Amino acid sequence: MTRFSRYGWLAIAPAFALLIYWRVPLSWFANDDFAWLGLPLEVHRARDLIEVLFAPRAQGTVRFLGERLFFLVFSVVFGYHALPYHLFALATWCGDLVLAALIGERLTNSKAAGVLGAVFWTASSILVTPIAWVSAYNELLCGFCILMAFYARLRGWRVTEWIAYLAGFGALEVIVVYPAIATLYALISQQNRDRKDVRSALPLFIPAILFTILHFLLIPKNASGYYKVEIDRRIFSTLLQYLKWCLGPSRLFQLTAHWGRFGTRVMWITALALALFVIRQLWRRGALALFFCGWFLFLVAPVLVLPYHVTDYYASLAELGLAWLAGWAMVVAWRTGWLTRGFAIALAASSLAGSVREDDGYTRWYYRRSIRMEALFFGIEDSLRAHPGSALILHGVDNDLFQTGFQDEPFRLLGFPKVYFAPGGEAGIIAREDLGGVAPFLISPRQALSMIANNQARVLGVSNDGVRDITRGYQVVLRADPRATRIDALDAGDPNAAASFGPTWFPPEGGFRWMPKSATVRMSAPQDASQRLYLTGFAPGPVLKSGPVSMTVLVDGSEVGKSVIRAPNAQFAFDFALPDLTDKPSIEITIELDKVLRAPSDNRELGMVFGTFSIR
Amino acid sequence: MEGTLNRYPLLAPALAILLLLTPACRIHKKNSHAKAAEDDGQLVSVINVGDPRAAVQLTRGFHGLEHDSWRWTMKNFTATLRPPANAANAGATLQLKLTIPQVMIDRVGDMRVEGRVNGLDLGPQTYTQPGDYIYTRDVPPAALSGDAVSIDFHVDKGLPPSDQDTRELALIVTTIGLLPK
Repeated sequence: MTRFSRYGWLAIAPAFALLIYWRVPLSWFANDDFAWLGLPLEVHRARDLIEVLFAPRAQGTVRFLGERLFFLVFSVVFGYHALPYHLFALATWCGDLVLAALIGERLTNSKAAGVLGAVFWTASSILVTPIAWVSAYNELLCGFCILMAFYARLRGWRVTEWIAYLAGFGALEVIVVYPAIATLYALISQQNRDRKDVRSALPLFIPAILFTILHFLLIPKNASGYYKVEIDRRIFSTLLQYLKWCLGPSRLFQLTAHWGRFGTRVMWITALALALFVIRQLWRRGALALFFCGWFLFLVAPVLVLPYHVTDYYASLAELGLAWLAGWAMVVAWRTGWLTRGFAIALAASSLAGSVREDDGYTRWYYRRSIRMEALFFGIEDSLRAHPGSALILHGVDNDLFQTGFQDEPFRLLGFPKVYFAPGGEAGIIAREDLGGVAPFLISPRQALSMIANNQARVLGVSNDGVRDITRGYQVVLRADPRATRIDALDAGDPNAAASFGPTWFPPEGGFRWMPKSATVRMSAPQDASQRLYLTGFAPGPVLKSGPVSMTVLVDGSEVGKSVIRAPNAQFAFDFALPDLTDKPSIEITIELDKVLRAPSDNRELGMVFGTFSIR
Repeated sequence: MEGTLNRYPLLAPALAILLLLTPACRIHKKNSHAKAAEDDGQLVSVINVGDPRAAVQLTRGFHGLEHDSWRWTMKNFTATLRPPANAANAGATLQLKLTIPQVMIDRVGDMRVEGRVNGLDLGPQTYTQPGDYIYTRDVPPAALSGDAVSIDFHVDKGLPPSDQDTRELALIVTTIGLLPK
């Protein structure tokens, strides 16, 4: 047997992976990718690189290799061409699978067990996200670091182990559990070795402990509830959820109602079979089963305390422990007898068939949504090239497309164009409020008509076939819309809205507008007696220097409310009930302040800075 | 050659990956399908909701196209149509081709559909059985002035967003049109 053919078995799992994930290289970007693709925009001089590479981002993470350097280098070299990113991720994944097979073989003394472990691992649908979504590349890279470090440990290559281990800190925080994995293996392999392995594992804890301390003490944590750490009994239900995802095609029902029950049954039978196998091995003092279970538990443990963010791919690296266990169990069953052999083959075939069906469904989902976003992104680029400086009004954006990354600001990569939904298009969109909700994308029919008429906006129709410029048709549609003549919302900084602001307002500057002691705004009357008036603005510190400012709001001469502005240099937002004015076409809103600023260098009498007015 | 491969067993896969990467190593030029063709600004009197050129006339309240032929609507939806020739003198006939699936009748019961053109109520129609229907109403000439008219529809019941489907669902619609009289 030549060395080449001796290593051929290592290509089995990567080849299987490439077959399953054939759509991945054809996919584009989505969601967080757009934030990372914007990294080059933040580098203006050499010292910015330090901030870009090492400042905590997202959930307070500093994954300078797994996210920052990867995206920075690839976006500079390849721009918004997703293929190289995906190929690099797939190459890393193939490396993970080769290492998984090599380690599996060394641990079980069986090439078949190693290959089967790697095949089960890559077939698991929880791997779809790290492989198909570029932003989750950190999982693949961290997997490579952990596996390389552990393989080096098995081979006695200490320097390689340390290099791979330390590199893992730049990939993903879960690397901190590697010393525990190395120590567990050293302990269970004591029967055949001296204590040298344990002693060599202990220093690995030093970087992990230092990293953990620094991570918790120095890095500000994300205030969002999604990443809140809570240690309580929910840890067990979270663990059960991750186990279900890892043990088989438990989510087939999402793709095919007919086979859903089949997938769930396969998952439970697999769980039972593996549990019996572990018990049998422990009974026979086979501690390797303990190591595989430990691998799973150590790597899943850090995410068990995130009950509000239980996400399948968080268990990607942990899953390998169960995959190795399954591969080993298959080989043992094969050797045991015809009955167990038949049962193991039937179960493995069922599990793989279900998992591959899941992989196909999920990769198709990633592919479809990402290419829709690609079509929109480049449609906008085309439009901006033909109409520089225009705002974009998007018609036909549905929730699926919105969820593919609108709140990650993909269009800032095209020069920060202002992007709106066609009025009414926000219905059915579910946006994260902690990221600003849908408000940044809203525009009234009247504003839209005004911007189109003044050549300040283009309208793009978004459909499954791509993007079309529908500005002329949409202008005709808007003219027929009675709502386009209503004024339900006003942006004080919008020069096109000047006609609605009374004579005392100062001209708009930089997206806002100063008011003097008293100012008026004309808007359409409310359509419903339950509607309220909403005001937002900014309270400049100098105006509040002598104390709070009282603001009185009148509608058609009658007072509807009074508010006190106390916080200097802060935004304010108030809302007021309105009297029943539904029989009127329009109303005049008057804002009066009890004090203003007369700065020596400015002859103007300055009150508050607005802001927006809306009736809803 | 075989000797080299035997000495460096990972060389072949590495070379294969490099070869795969080669065509990718150039700055991206966008996909051809992403071009934003401009429309001609002409509206139609009869909208087939599957026609991408007429999508601009589905003003609000329509969900995405399904099976290239129909769309779910929300409880309130609006379409904008070009009045047919001579409609300003003779009026026109509004037709809304809709389907009420069994699941809607099972879950919400009877459904009432109402149309409104330029502030003019066209009158309700109640559907008590699942099936395909045409909501038909005469529209007087006075409501059909101008190059386009905005037609609002209201359905009294629908399925609210849920975990299974985050959309509000009311009717399945295939065609909306103003026909000459």
